[in-house]
Amino acid sequence: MTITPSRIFEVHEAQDGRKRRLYTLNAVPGTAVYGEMLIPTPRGEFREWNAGKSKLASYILKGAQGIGMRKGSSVLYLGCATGTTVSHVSDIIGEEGMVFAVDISPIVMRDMLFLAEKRGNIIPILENAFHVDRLAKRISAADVLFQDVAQRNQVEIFLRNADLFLKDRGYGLLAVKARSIDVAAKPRDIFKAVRKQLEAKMTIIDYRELDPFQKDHCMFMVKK
Amino acid sequence: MGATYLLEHIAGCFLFDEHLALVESGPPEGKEKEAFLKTHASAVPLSYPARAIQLRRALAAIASKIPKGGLRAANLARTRHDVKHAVSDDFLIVQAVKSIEDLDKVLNSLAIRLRDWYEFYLPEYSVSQPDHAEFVRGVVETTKEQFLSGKKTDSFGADLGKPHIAAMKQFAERLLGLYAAKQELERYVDSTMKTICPNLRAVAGSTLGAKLLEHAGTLKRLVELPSSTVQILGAEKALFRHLKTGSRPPKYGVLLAHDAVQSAPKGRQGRAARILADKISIAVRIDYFKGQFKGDALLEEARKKIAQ
Repeated sequence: MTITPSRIFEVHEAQDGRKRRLYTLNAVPGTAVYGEMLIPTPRGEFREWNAGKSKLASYILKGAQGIGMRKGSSVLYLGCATGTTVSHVSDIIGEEGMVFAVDISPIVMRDMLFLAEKRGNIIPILENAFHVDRLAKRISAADVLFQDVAQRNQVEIFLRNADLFLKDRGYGLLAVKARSIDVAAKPRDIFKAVRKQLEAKMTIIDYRELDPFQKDHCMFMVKK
Repeated sequence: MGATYLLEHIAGCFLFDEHLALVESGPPEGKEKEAFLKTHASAVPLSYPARAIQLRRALAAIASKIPKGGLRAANLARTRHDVKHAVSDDFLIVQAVKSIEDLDKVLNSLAIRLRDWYEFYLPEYSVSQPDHAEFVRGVVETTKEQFLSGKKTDSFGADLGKPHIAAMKQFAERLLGLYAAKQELERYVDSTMKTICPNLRAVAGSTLGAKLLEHAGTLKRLVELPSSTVQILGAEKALFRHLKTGSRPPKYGVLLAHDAVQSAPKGRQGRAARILADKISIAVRIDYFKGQFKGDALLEEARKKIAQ
């Protein structure tokens, strides 16, 4: 199994039988964040990126052309939870980049704090992502907006934040959880409705459903 | 001269000209900040949503200007502070209730394990004592001879040597410790409920009230729930099955355990749960806003209405 650069900046991949695996270069060698595999190589230590636990990884495995992030990017990450995906974003953007990791729950923020103390490019914020007026006092504009919040008004939250914090021509990634918007409706119908809402304000450049990694989820990539 | 704009930010105070270019920055806090704000009192504060357009441009303007280290340190300190002060009593109650539920599960399987084990030695005792806690106590406190005295027939359990029996007894003693731990937790939940939500405790009882808190997550969220939701908290599986497949909706969740619902005639229990949920909603709102104690009266009202 050889690890080679993938078409996504700073993301590496390997073919393991029929399974494709993703890796990022560990910014804190020797430390795993959520029990993932660490693979030391002469090029540095690779950290496996588990698609079952990360919607961004699922999106890449489903054939994404790009995720808008590269070395030095600033990322606004809404719904960071315990920091599983944020840790890989932190690997991708490197020391010069920064990621604002926002979550509303003080319980998951504990793990996030421990992670942020180890990684100098993570800025943890305990705040409701809907309250952009409060966020505005704590962050600056960002190159990329990533959102994964299980809220009924997730699209509205995304649009508000994109409007205020996303730089012109910046990229937005929205992970839509159909079950949070309506448990009874068909996910496809919800995705269609979300597409309409997004199209009114921004340009959609990619859309992928995330099964079999994540059930009833899809990812929209938009450009401001 | 055009207007100037001011942004109060965690990394400092920032002053912008009419084109939203950064002209001056001040300190994030302290007396110096106040002095800075005073000198620029005429500047328009950048607020949301009133000044959204200007605010967006200002945030883009400072993106490359704020030193990352300072921004991170300030946010890290603030978030540490926020997490520290986010802990409230209802979080603690929820954890205690979850611990009790986990203990219940663990105790159940451990007691069954002890039964299987002890039945090699004295099967008759295990069969005669269906209550797990009492059975475990018996294993510790009574001997085979004591149990068999006065019985007509002898046991068909094996005669085991002392070390084998001692091992069972020791295991049983540990289980008794866990039963005691559970009781202590229940007392703790009761006394905490008494201080933070006395009305809920009076209407629903402390265990049931704590379970409602657990399902809602926090006291605030329980307060915000409509009582039709309170009525079916704990019946999420049935509720979502109803929403998805159109099966019959649940009538009650954890509230079924309440004696006012239990004692209602079958077929009227859903009605009882609905009336009780009404009063519980009122009770938690009184608790949340620190009103006067009215719990007993509320429960009395509920009982009367149910009996009608």
